[in-house]
Amino acid sequence: MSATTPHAGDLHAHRFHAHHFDTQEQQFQAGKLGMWLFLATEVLFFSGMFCAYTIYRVIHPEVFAFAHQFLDPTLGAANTLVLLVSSLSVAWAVRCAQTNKQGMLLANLVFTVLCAGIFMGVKSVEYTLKFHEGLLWRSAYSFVEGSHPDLGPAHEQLRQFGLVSLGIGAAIVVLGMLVGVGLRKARGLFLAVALIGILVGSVCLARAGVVEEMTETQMGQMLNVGGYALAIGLGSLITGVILLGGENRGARWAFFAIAATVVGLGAGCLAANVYTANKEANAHSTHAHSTHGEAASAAGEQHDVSHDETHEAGSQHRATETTALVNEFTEEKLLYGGEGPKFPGIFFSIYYAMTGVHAIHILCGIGVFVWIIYRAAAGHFEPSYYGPVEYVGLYWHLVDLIWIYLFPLLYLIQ
Amino acid sequence: MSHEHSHHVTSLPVLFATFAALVGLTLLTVYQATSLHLGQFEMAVTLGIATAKALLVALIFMQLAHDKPLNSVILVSAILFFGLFVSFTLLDRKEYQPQIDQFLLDRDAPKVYADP
Repeated sequence: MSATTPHAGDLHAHRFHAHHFDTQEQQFQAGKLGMWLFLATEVLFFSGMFCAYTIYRVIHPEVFAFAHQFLDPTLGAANTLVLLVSSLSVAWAVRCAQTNKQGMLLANLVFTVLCAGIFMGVKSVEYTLKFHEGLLWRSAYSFVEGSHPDLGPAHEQLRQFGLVSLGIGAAIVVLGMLVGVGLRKARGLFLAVALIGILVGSVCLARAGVVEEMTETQMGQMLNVGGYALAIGLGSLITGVILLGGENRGARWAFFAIAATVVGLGAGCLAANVYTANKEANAHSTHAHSTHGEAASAAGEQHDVSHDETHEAGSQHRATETTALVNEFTEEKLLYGGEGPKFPGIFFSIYYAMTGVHAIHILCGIGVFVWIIYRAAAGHFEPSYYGPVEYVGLYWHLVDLIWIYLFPLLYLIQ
Repeated sequence: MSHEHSHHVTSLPVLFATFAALVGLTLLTVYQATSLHLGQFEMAVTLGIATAKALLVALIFMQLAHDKPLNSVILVSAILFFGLFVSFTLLDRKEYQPQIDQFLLDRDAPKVYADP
């Protein structure tokens, strides 16, 4: 890359100046134009889902009025703030590249992926709890109105997931530190492990999905082994691919970036988990009050919350409604399953499509940022060449922009 | 290389002021949705605040305010086609009006069953 470009003899040519551009300025503007065209396709891509949302909300306002009680505005607002902070740090990173502040450039970029990790952590708590309650897309929706599923195991799972993430993050930091001390020589080994892990993982998961005569424990083992093998395989693949690059400093910071993401994931998950567990404990104590010590308080759901805390108006309302509608087996419920006549499952189909595709964009953003951080640490960016930082920044701002609309449309329905 | 200095560099105070405005608008929209009841203006206000935030991000963070107009044209035309798409699809929304009216009636009727 350095001395072999067609402009090698030209002292003024930059090492990243592609030969088919007359000037670097032309290269920069062309790249930016390309990015904007891609962002236009992104807007149109999301417009399909926004259209589905609009139509369904216009013709079935009652479904949205019913379903919004399951979305916590605090978590949504927290994630909005996390994305806004990360947008600021990206804009700042572009400025740092323009003004040649290499240290702040790296710091801002790593902070951005940390925020991305936190966003995914909060998201994972929201999704996990909804999965446990049966608040799924239309075909899998199994939530029974007025029921209070025990979310204790889900919170325990999330706590473990958060702690394991923090541990993995620390391990990746160590891995990054080893880069300069000979880890690079092991890249072939990592790629071999990746191949084996991905193969074994896929075979196990496929077997669990295909073979019909299998006991529950066998199935569980298959899923476990498959999941772990796939995770190890993908981890090794990422490690191997990063190590294939030529720059030690870049590789080290790529690992630090991944570590920051995973640590953010763990931290976001733990924080959101504590928040939701406390909130449920409050709702439960309200519930126990209004129904004079029903099973709820005896179900081992003691989250050490004093009973004299101020009750949220919303949960109180939900609790009284619950007592009114106590699991009576009405004709409607027979007809529509547990879902009731309103089909909130369709709301959740739209919810999962929109937030899920948005989350995939966050994941892609993390991947691209790891590459940008690799290049930033390798010293590729300077005031005369910083296009990639700006392009990825534009993408990240668009992802933030879409969330700016998703948040009020999904979380703040009245 | 000669054009390099024409790239706009956003100053730190501007970046932080934009961020503060975005946070303020986020808090405003949460307050509006949870504490105020604006009835029919609800949706307009919510989308208005979101659009104000989107403009801040697009003009300052994405630097469209100082960029070549063509990039803005691309974004705006994508949004126009989005509007066209949604409005055409909404043309037959009255199809379900009787059911919606029934829902509004039911919702506003006193809930006799709510008190056991």
